[in-house]
Amino acid sequence: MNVPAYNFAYLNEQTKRMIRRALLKAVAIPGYQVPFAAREMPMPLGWGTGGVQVTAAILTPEDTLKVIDQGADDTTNAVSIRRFFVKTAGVKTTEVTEEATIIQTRHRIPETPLTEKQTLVFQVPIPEPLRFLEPRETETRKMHALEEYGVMHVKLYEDIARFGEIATSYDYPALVNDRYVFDPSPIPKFDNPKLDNCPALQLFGAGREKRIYAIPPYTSVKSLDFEDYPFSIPRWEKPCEICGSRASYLDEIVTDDKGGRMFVCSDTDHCRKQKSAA
Amino acid sequence: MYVAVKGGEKAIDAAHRLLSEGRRGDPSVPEITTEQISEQLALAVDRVMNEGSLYDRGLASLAVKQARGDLTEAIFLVRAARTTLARFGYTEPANTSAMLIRRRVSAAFKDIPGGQILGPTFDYTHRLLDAGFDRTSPSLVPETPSSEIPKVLAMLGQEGLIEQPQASGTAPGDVTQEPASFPMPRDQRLQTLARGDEGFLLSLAYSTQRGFGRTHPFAGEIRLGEVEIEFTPVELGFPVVIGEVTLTECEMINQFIGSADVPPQFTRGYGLGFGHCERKVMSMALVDRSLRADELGEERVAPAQDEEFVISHCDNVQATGFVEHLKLPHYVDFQSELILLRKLRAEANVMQEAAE
Amino acid sequence: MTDAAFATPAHDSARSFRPILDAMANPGKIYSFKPAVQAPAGLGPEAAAVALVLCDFQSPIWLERSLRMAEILQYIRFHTGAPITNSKPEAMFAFIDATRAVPSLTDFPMGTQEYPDRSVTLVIKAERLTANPDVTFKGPGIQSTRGFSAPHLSPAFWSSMIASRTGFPLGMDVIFVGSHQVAALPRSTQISIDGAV
Repeated sequence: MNVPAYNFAYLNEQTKRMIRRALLKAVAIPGYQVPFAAREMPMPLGWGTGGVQVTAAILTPEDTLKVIDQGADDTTNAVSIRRFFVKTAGVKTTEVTEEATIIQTRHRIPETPLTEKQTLVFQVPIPEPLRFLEPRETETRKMHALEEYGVMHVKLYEDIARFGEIATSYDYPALVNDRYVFDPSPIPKFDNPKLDNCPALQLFGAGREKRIYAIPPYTSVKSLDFEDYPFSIPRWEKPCEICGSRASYLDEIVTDDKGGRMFVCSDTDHCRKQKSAA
Repeated sequence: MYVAVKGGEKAIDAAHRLLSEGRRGDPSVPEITTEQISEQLALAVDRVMNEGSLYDRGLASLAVKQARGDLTEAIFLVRAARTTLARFGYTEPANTSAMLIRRRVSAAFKDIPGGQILGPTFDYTHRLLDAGFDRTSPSLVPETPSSEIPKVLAMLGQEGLIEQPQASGTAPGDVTQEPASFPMPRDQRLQTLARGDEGFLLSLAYSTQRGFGRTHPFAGEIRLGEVEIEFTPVELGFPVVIGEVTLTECEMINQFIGSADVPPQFTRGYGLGFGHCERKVMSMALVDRSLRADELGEERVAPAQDEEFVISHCDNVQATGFVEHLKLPHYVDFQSELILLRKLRAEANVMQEAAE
Repeated sequence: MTDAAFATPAHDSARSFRPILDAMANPGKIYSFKPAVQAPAGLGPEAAAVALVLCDFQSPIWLERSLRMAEILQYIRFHTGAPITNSKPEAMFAFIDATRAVPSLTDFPMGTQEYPDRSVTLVIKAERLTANPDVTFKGPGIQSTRGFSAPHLSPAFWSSMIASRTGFPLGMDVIFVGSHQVAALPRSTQISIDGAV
């Protein structure tokens, strides 16, 4: 029985070429979802295989990789993906945002501002921002072609009518380069402003849904809103209880079963740096 | 003082250790071999080859063992291995007319040229658990397979009673190399169904029989046996046999159509799979036929006629991945929802108090 | 004898792809590009590396006439397996030697409204690329504006590039290679010839 051996970064070269072609088109048409023939990976579909394929297709032996899930390097799925690349590509890894050349992420953008020398790779479950308004790909593709995004504004407006504000707190849709409405992946809307005019290249991979899209550096990304209901991000009443940061996204920790709560940074690298600087 | 939760690395290592122990079970019971799985759990291996989309009994058996008998997990293991394989090209179309037949039945005619060959089937066994069975499996001398038995649907074709498949004129697509787009040509639909989850296709097929997209099927022919696979290397320029695979094929005869130009004819539904997989290929043939609704001018009213719905959801590796991904941490987004919900409730309370 | 391609394909192609990706993400910015590859003289190592990194049996290549030399055809067929087409509408990649001739760009695929990605990528070989503002770029990937110049690229070429992007998101994307250089021009970039953007 011949158990197959794997190539550098797992994917065979033909698969990488296919993904690389898709990546170039994605970068050339910011926010447009390029179909690609995503492969099965040795981790489940829906667990970051799109991000993993994008990372595998751009990774060089000289890169330093950081992997985060929920903002943290030590969450189980982040550990699993980081180990995958250590094993299959032998690359250096880091938890320090500034040291990384490629950062693969699920659900967060690091608090530390990114630079031109970095590439951020997002894992995307559902790349289509219109999917929950229109389940058919044949229809949503037409809507993007015609720039027909009225249905999205209607949905946001209905939120306002019902709840008094836009009741979307993550996976918040935005307009890229004034052309395509795109899905920033389930990052909290707190992170949406970081997408705009970001110096780093941002790549998005959806493996199960077989789509790749991109935001080049310094590209306009506007979160959808209304003049009288402008986009806003949540604030916490208290700072992080570990590092004292007032500017970062906080996780709520349940400390007992009597309503005890505390709030700490979701970005563990940022928190550690803030604490050692204090 | 609260310390941020650390230990993802350690937890994963520990989980892997526990899994290995669980996989082996009680060490006083002899360990099962992949050869035993391949020979004695052959239909599980067939299913893994089918939905794993890789004809390799050895790897499929290993996958069944490694997955502790969880076939969806085993299929996933095989798919992940398949991804890494280099691709040399495409074989010539498998000629199932030249199959060395071990089993072949038609429900459409009482007797047919070549005969009805019951072969190795659970059909007509009484499903009684047999306690003596797991110790003494009877050994049987295999029957000599028959070859070049004409196809039942071809006989109908001679009379013009059934539609003749039209060559599209273009090379078949490859769903493992090109992302799906809709509407999808039938060749790619069939490829996707061949990889699709047996349970999902079975239920969809069943729904068509119960009126959700009825197609009036007859099992025209089901055949099981071995087929030679040919490949044409560029440097040779002619096909050479590179091996033999076991295939199950189902051709359904369905409700006739006709028009002003064409007299009424039966229509077809087609199913093909690796190994012995009758339930799968019958389901596939029913779903294939119902997915031809647009082509045959039928109104689409049922789930099994909805191409995008069926094709997008029939793959169990995709489905299990996304359903099970809900186990991953989602606390960042949940936190966002908590903040929003608390805020909305606080605002609602203020409004209510003001009203009172 | 066909020239050898990458000695360690997985590493070398990864190292060659990154500057191409960065170039496409930062239009007009010139990146150092020294692929570890031998290539027929008429093609050159930089264009050869682009073919090796991006092209295979799924991506038909169109070659400008001066590149249709036996050694080049043999090299591309042998190392990439890409079908070579004489039909512009079928081309996924088009290789052009700007020092010889720039063909008319009108018949290359520009994609469709629903699938704008189904469009050509031009690979244009020039002697050297500079940041002289012969033309000025503006758009995604550029913080303010960026100048770009390559000898042999005429005002007519730039006019046709400008014309090709009036139907955005339809369009064509360009990878420029010079000696040890790579730059790119995606369809999202606005081009101005007189410097006024």
